[in-house]
Amino acid sequence: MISQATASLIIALFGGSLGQLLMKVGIQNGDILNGLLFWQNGFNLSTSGLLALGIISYLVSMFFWIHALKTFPLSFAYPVLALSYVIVSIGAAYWPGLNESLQITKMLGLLFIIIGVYFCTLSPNSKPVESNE
Amino acid sequence: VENTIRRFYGDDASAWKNRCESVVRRIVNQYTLHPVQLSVNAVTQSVADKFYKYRSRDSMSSSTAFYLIVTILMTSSSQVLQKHAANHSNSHSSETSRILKQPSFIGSIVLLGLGLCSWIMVLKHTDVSLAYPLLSINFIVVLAMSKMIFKEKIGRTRCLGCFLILAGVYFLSGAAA
Repeated sequence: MISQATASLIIALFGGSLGQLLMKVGIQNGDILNGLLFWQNGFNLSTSGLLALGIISYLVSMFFWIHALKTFPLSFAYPVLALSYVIVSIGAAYWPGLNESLQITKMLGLLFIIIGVYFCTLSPNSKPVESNE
Repeated sequence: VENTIRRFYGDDASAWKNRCESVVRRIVNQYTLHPVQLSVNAVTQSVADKFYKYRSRDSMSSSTAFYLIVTILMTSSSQVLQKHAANHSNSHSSETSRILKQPSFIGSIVLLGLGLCSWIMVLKHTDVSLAYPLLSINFIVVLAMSKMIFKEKIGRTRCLGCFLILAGVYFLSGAAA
C-alpha cells in the first residue's frame, strides 16, 4: 500500500512528463502562431488543444508536487524528479508522432539516472517525515 | 531606377518593369499577414539572428557564465521556497489549495519567471546542448540548500545518487558524444 504522499509524487512526475510530451506533439503539428494565437486562426485541436492539455498537465503536476513536498524532504523529492528525463525520452521514442531516436549514449544516460534515483531512495530519510519545523 | 533599367535593357524596359511589378505583387499577396503575426515574426527573426551569430562560440563568456549561475540559483531557491510553503501549512490541514496563496509560493513562481528570463539570456549566447547539462547542477545546489536551510540529513548514498543523475543528464544530452 503506497501512501498518499508517494502517490502524489508519482502523479507530479508523470504529469510533468506528459505535459512536456503533449507540448512537443502540439507544437509539432503546427507552428507557434497556429498554436498560441488561436483566437485569430481558429481553435485547432491538434495544436492548440494539445498545447493547452500540456500546460494544464503541468499545472496539475505542480499542485501534486507541492502536496508531495509536505511530507517528503526536498533532498529526496527533487532527485526523484530526474526520472522525468527517463519518461520523456522513452515516451518521445514511442509516441506515434514523435519517433525520436534512442541511441546507446542516451540509454547509458537513462541507466545512470535510474541508478542515481535508486541510490537516493536507499538513503535512510527517504521515508516521509512527520514535521520539518 | 527606370533610367538604369532602360540603359541596360533598351526597348525591353517596360516589359521588364511589368515583370518586376508582378513578382513584387505576388510576393506581397503571398506574405500579407496580420500586424500581430508580422511583429511576432520580426521578434522571432531577431532572436534567431542573434542565436546564429553567437552559435559558433565554443566557450562561454564570463557574462554567460554569470547568467547561468543566476539561473541555477533562482530555480533552486524557488524549489526551496516551495518546500517552505509546503512546510508551513503542514500543521494546519492537508488541503493544498491554501499553500498556493502563501507569499513564499508566490515568491517561488516569481523566481521561476526571473530564472526563465535569465535562462533565455544564457541561450542567447551559447549552444543549448552545452548549457542544458550544466543546468543539472541544480540537483547538487538543491541538495546543499536543503541541508543548510531545512537541516535535512543527507547520506553518502544520496550524494552519490545525485552525482549519478548528473552524469546521466550529461550522457543523455549528447554532450559526451
